[in-house]
Amino acid sequence: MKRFLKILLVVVLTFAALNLLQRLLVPKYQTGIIEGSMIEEYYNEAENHDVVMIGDCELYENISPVTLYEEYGITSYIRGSAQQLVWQSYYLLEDTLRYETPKVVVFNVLSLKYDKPQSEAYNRMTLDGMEWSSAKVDAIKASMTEDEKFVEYLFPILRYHSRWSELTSDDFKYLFEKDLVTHNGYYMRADAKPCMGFPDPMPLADYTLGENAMKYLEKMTKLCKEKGIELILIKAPIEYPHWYDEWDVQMEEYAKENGLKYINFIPLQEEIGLDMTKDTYDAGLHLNVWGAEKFSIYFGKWLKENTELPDRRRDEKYSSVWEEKTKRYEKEKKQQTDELEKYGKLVSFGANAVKG
Amino acid sequence: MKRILILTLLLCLVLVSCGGEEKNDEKVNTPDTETKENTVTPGYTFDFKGASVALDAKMESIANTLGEPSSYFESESCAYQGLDKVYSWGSVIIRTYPKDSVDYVLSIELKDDSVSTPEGVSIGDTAESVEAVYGAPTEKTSSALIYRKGNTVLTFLVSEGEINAITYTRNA
Amino acid sequence: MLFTSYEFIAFIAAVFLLYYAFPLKYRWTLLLVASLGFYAIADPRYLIFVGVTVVSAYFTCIKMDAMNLEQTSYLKEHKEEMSTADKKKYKETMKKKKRVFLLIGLLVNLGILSVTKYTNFVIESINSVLSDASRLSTVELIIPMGISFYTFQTVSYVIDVYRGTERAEKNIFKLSLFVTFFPQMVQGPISRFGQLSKTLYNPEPLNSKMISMGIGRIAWGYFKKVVIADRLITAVTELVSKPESYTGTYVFIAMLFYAFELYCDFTGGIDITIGIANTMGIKVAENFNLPYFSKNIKEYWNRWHITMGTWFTDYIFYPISVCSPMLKLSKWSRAHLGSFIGKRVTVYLSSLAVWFTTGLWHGAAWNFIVWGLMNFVVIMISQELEPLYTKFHKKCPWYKKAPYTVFQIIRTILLMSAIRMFDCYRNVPLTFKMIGTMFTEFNLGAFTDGSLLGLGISGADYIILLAGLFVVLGVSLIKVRVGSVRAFIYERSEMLYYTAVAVLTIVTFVFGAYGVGYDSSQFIYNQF
Repeated sequence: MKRFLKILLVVVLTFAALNLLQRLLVPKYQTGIIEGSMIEEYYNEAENHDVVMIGDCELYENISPVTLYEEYGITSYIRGSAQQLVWQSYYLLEDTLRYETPKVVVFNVLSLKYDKPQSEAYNRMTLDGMEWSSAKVDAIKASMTEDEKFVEYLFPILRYHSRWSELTSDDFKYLFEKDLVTHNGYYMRADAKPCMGFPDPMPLADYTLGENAMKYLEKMTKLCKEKGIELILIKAPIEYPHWYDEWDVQMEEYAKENGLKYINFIPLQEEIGLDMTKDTYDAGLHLNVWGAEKFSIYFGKWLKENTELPDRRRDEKYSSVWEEKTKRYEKEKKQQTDELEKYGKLVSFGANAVKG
Repeated sequence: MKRILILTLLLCLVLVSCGGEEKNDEKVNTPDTETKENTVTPGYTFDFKGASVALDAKMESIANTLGEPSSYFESESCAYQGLDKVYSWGSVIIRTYPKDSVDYVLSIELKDDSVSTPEGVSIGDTAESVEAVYGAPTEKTSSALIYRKGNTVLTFLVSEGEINAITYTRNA
Repeated sequence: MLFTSYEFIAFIAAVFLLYYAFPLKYRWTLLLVASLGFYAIADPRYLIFVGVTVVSAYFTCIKMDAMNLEQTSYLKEHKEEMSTADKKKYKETMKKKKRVFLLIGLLVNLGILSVTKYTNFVIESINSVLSDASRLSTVELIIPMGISFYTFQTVSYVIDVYRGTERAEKNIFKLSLFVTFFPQMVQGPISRFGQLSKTLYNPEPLNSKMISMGIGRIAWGYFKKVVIADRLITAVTELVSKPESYTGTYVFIAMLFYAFELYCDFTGGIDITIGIANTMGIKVAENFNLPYFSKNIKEYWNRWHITMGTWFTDYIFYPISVCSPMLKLSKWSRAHLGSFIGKRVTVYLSSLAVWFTTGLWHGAAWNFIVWGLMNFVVIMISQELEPLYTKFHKKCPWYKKAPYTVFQIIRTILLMSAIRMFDCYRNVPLTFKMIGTMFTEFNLGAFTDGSLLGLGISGADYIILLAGLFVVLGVSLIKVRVGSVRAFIYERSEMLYYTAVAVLTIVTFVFGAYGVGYDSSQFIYNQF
């Protein structure tokens, strides 16, 4: 018996040590590349949201929930991540529904162009942050590229162990607790880099959106219907990567068949008031905070007119929470503009802050 | 007794002839032996300005051979996973994707009839001439002839019986 | 399934738990199912090959065993009435009868082995002397997993029964387990029926020491394999796959790296195998005994891949030395060529056969054959020089002192490592050329100009390698003094032992060269 206890003690301590090492070795995504922190931040939310957006960078860099709240009292959260694929979006929706049932779900359709798993790095940024549930298991299974192994998701130390030689101060600083890096899923950037045009799109042999991708859009549609959620499909007002007209037609048709609203914002750039020489931080691929606010005002108005979303600004339960969020949002905006003024570029955000 | 011997010999022969594909994990695996690349069937390649451009090949050396492009575009991929690049030499456009900070050829696009595939097809040729050169396509649609080989999908877009675009893309 | 795959670890864990759920008497049945499953997972067609091996060995051995019994009882019964000559004659006839079954057993098993493994080698060798037009095309064959190991095991069993040193196994399922016992299928050792069957069918009952020892050994094996060998293999591959750029000193570096890599990989794999068996209460023969502490090559071969060496001695060297043509040859040469040659002729020829087949067994390529022959040459030379050494040792009494021993050890390691380079390079001429550059080009700058960092292993990796090899060396030195290091610690403090195993495990998880960024390499011996 004494021997058994000894063994048990060593086994428990071994697992504890491995767990601690795992915490240390997984990337923290706190400075520079913060996209890997987006998915897990959601679980810190105290209050429910009327709108939940799922999709790729075209959501999390172009729409500001704080603006939506300030202007229209819409409470929202963007469960976005870098190159989020449609099956990931679907399972993130399943995951979200474990915590709340929003009135409206917004999905950005660009990712429908991918029909197969793409990249391990992006998979990790999307999936590692998810809390364990059947949704996560299914999401991993649907997303893994050929060389990936499920067990490496289950025990991330198996994937990240070789980072021992690349650990930075961040890995120790954020060992137990991480800072918020987004504003309800929105990734703020205040710098600007004008758009100088894009290369011509390459002609394709087949413009039909992939079967697998569409299958998940259908599942998403069905799930929303079951839960009484209104699903809204949007294409953000970004021209590159190219959104082919043929794809647009398919989306129109899909929306019509399923009684959904689909809106392509690319032709509406001017109406939104976007100036792609100033409102983008990376030459037109993503909007900066000035562009995102313009688009949010436009999109919020559209939401107000086309759906029945309550104004939560008078609701004390929400207003105190959102007041905090607004404060943090303004503070970071100021920090970024200050840095831009002082250095002419951002130093603690984006590429310049990437360590190692 | 002799019969038994003959039978056993026959049995040996029968057994060994039921072999199928070679099992990779049984190969001699001393360090020098075959790497994965050797077993992959090569795809279509495109010859241009003295460079042989293959999909998934490293762009650096190709770009050096081809010289300064007439236009160049790069876009940062999300979360700084590298740059997606588009090189244009007027009639030819090469796109690349990054992997572990190295750029690889993603696609090749032929824009006009000043260039042709190494097999001799260029824009403006008839669909029949493509089939005469390349044989029956892997897939044929109303607007395209598609040939899959190795890592490559070679696509001839057809409009009114004429080729109006030629692309090399990765065989996913 | 490789030892270092997640699948293997899961497989072992599942087998282990189920194993102890079974009553002691039937545990072997679970192992049989697991072993067949191990094959089926790899490729169900392998089971056909294994099946033929088992069935052929089973029936031939039952037959031979019956004849052995018949012979004994007949001789006993007719003890009085038979003259010595009669007895001899009777034995001869029985031997002839048995020999038919022996031949069947050997033909089937060695037949499958040679056809699957060597057909293409023979075709390619023939092609190399043919003109382009008349070349033969190679054929696609499946090579069953572990075929060289299980065939050798089966052959030793058949011969042992033929010789009457082993009784035949009456239970075909038990025999199947002996042939397919899965931990041995990845890289040996080559067990003997008499040795393995004792505990394979009647394992030791579960006890905590046994399991602790076994798990500790598995952890040690994985440490050597994953932390050291799999890290080094990247550099070895880089060095030997680009012989045109890595000449001279780089060949020397490749040689050293490969020596450490192979040692850690192979002994690590054997540790895993034996450790798994031990946790199940089964004893598997040791395959290594600190080979890199050998003072000469002969000693080295008594300490490296021991089960293979003894196999070749028992089933190739010995039978060839005493077969009647050989005895006649020996007699004839003693009479005609003098005693100096006469004494040596049989030994030389038998050794040559041993080393040729040893080379061939390692792989179907000329590289391996030349490798075997090189070993033969070196061993024979050192044997001939033996008297010279003895004289020298007499004159220099300090030969027993430590510095000289260290010199001998290093000399042996270097010599063996140089010969081993035939494993690495593409072909035989290239190997000779590369070894040659080692003596002609001294680009010692390779050590200092940072090019060591360009071999696919970083500075941090080198630190781990150095530390890892230091640990291996330390443990080996302790082993020389105390025998089993694990038992040594365990007997002093169980808690210390558990902690050591835990630390080893954690270190392997963190510093192992596995997963993304590392090409998980296979055991070099997996193709046998």
